[in-house]
Amino acid sequence: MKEPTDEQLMSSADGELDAETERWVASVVAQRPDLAHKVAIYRATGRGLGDIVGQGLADKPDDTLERHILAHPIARPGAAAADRTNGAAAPKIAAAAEPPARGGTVVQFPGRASARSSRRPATLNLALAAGVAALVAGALAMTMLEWRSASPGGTPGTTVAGKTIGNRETGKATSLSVAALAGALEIAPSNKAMAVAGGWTVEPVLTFAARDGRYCREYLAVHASGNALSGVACRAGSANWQTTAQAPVEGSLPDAGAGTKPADRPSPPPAVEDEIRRLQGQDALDGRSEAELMSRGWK
Amino acid sequence: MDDDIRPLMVKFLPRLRKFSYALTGNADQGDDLVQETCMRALARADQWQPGTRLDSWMYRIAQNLWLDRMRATKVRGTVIDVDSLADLSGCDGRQVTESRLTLAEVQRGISKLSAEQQVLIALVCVDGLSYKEAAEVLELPLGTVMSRLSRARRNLHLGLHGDDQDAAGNDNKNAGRETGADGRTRR
Repeated sequence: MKEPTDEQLMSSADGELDAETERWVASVVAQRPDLAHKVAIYRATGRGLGDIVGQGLADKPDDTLERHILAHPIARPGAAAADRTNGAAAPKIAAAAEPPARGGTVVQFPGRASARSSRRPATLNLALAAGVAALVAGALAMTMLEWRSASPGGTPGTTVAGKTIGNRETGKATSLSVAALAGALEIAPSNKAMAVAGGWTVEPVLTFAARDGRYCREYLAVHASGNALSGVACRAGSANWQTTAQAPVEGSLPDAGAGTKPADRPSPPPAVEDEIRRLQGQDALDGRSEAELMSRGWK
Repeated sequence: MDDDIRPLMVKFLPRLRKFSYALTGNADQGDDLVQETCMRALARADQWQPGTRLDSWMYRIAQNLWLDRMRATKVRGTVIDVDSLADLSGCDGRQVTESRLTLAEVQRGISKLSAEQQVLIALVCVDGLSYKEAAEVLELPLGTVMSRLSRARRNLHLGLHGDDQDAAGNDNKNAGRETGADGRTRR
């Protein structure tokens, strides 16, 4: 006499059989205690496990990750497939088989939970970050959103390879002073826009340790005229930040005068993203680690 | 905006958290897996096709991360594999149905499975995907998923209820089978 396979018994326990097969399996199982035993085992190891596992999770988990996701700049969905020129249909699922992204992500995540000594939310704690940064800023009397270079020459020593950085592509007169940029990178927490000299607003995006041991920061600089630059700079001594890659940001931008909101921040240009990937030795720092680093004078 | 992946990811997070917790059996490690999955998904957001299932795409990312991690750490002990529920003849079916598993038991049972079987259990039994949906996530034929899932659940049951007597009996029945270098009993 034909009897149900284990897969059919499992499907019966999971309610995945069509009606006709289910009737047949049920009729056989009703007369076979050994098969009923198998179905019972499949039921015990079935979809009820979800409720049991759910018991171990917090009802209201920390929403730090949610906020980071929503604030993360992303490339346009589907862009990779749209950019293909061979006309082949894009695979439904394209990313999973690729090797891990190391440093290609431009987001501050909370850091490895298993390595944290505290479960306290680690990032976007702007009050803490601002407080520590303000200690560092000291006499600068920074009010977070309004900080200006003390002189056209900027703070002594705050130079980026002795150059003034501007948007050469547009040729406009507006330029971002290296001193102003360095000043902002030295003291501003990530995700906090700081008004600097020349009508620019500088917003550090993230901070990470480079493979060579330096600390580097991705930044977004937006001018009141609408010019915008994305770049990455690494700290090369006291208040000295050297930009290693910079590119104009294309597309619409938020109102520069009001600063930027993370959710509105555009993705960095490929050249900047590639540079970050090349430099980055460790995951981006979370807000707390960044604030502590600043309080230690980037040591 | 419908094609903005970020709010969709946030909506998916509770399921991803439960999935990751089922795999890792540890809240912190589960959080790490969730975070790594989200980081990779955001970094490759341009590769996700709006209109396709985000959960399948992200589960595949999480699965690959988990398999990579397990392969790297090689923390698995010997995994006892059973060929059929007939190997579990010592169990009482009534006890199976009447006893409700505890969280600790489930975690212990899942931890004894191979990484691939853990993913199957997490997808179907914990998250509640259909066999067909799990097959799409894993890019495997439906029949393959069903046979592997059936085996995974038999192993899970053995891990939960298989006392020394059962294990001994199973070993005897597997005596003639090939045993891989990793200690797993193969058919």
